Amino acid sequence: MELKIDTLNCTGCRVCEFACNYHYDGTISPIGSSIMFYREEKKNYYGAMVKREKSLLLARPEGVEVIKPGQQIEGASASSKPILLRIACDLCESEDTPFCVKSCPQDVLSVE
Amino acid sequence: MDYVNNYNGTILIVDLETGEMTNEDLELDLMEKCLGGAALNIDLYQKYADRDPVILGTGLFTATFFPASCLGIATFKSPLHQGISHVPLTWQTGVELKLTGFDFIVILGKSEKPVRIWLHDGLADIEDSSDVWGKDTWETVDALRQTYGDDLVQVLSIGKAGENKLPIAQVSESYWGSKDKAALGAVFGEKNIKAVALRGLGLLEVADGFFDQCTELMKEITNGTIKGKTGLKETISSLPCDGKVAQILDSITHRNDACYNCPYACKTFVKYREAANIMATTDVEDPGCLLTDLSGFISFSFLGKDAAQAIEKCFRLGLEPTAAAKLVEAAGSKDLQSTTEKLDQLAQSGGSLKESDIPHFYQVSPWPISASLETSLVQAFGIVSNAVPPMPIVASYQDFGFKDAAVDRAEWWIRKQSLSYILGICPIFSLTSPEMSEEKIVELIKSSADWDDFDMKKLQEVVGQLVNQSLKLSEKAGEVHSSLKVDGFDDAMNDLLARFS
Repeated sequence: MELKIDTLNCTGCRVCEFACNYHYDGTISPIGSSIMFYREEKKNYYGAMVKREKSLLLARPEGVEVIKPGQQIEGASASSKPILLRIACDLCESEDTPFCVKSCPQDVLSVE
Repeated sequence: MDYVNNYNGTILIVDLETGEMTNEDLELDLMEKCLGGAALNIDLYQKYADRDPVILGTGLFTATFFPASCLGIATFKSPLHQGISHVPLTWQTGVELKLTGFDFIVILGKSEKPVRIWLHDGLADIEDSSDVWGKDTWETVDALRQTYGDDLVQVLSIGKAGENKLPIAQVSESYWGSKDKAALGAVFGEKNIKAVALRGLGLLEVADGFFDQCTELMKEITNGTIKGKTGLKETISSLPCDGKVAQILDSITHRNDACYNCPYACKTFVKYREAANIMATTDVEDPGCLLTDLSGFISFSFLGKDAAQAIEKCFRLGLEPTAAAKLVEAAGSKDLQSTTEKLDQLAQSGGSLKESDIPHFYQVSPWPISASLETSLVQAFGIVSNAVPPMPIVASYQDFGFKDAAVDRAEWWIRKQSLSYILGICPIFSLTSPEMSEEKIVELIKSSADWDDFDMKKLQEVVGQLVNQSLKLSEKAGEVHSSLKVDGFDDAMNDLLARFS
């Protein structure tokens, strides 16, 4: 089972980040989430990264890829650095549905 | 009641004359009286009225899981009509404001030299801004994001028009303009504020069960009136304007974007310096523009698809697009080149709708749509932003339970907008979704704030209080242009005002 992201239908609302943090510590904040939103705003280029146990899921508008440890991420911006320090996604193991999936207004997140 | 679930509990007072900054506690009794947002802004405005304050505030639901809870609110005296104005701050501005750790910012007086206010992680700094004074809003955002090392810093800034304190100046939310039609940009210029930069990591408490209640409401909304609808084209198509305007978007639309936690992505990014369907990044630094201003886009539609580039120019210069479009069109602009030149001139020396005898509501630009009594009434009412469509969007009055009486419709719109400004809900979204009923809102206020005896009567009281107090502070010096007074306007306006007296 893993998290899937339909990047082209994402509208960049960011609530997934906050829902993820809420799962871990019951507060609203982007600080402790496994999923992290990034945006190059003038190019309208945005997507999400998910910290997983042994890899990073990088969901960009042109597609989704899995980054292995040590692999260079091309085009990473300043706001993407802290992702490596985050908790690995546990798919909200204590819940029926991960909070990011539940909160997404566009249904672009799913677990398969 | 326990507001700890929704707020940080802190009001920041920034004195630009002395450079001092102090924190005040957000008192529980003030919260119970006002709930927050524009209603609490008004309270703070009156407390500091002799210092010409600008209040930046957040609503009870801002930055929470409540649908479309993106909103921050700026409250100030508009130089256009000397009355109070509440400007909605959408995109990520309101959210980032609350995440800084401050719920309300009170900015007092005037700085001697250009400054910016940098709010982050519970800290506040007033910094010299001579490095960005003279730069346009895009250059300013780029410079500040580089200085602070974070692409997600949200920036309220002014361009040339604001620096020149012009009546058509607009404050910009990062690169993309704003819903400011009341010249907050000129007020920033007058105070020598080049920018307010915002970034924080929050840590707001959430009441048990609130997350699930919000996601359930969100599901109901996404399966309701807005289902399958998105973007600027859909919004424009639902308004009474020339249908050809929406078609301009066909060849330049990149994708639709939403503000924080909003199910209706009303903003459309258009590309005109590279193919619109390119999804990967390229070497083109500024491929296009996020169209956030429906009224401005319609007003520039005499330029065809070049309307988008005219909007970009307005955003860079910090000009209010609808007024700017009307002024350059009246001055004879017919193509992008002449429009660009005239926009540069406007940002330098200004101009006003009143002086040019262009239709206006108290010097505020009206919506470029077919007029009706109810849309004229709400625009003439003022107080809240005329950048929000003056009628339901992708929904009808009937969907919201209203039939034909214009004054009833206008009262509904004003109450709906006021409620959004108090709670921190996007005022555009609130015109799309009847599923977000007042009964549901009351239920979620009770739940989120552990406020068992909160009820509909209290909600209505807070809304009425906001409108009433705002009206008392709105001694409009201007007038409604005669061409905008449709049949029955004066009697209907008296009726409408009486309902809030």
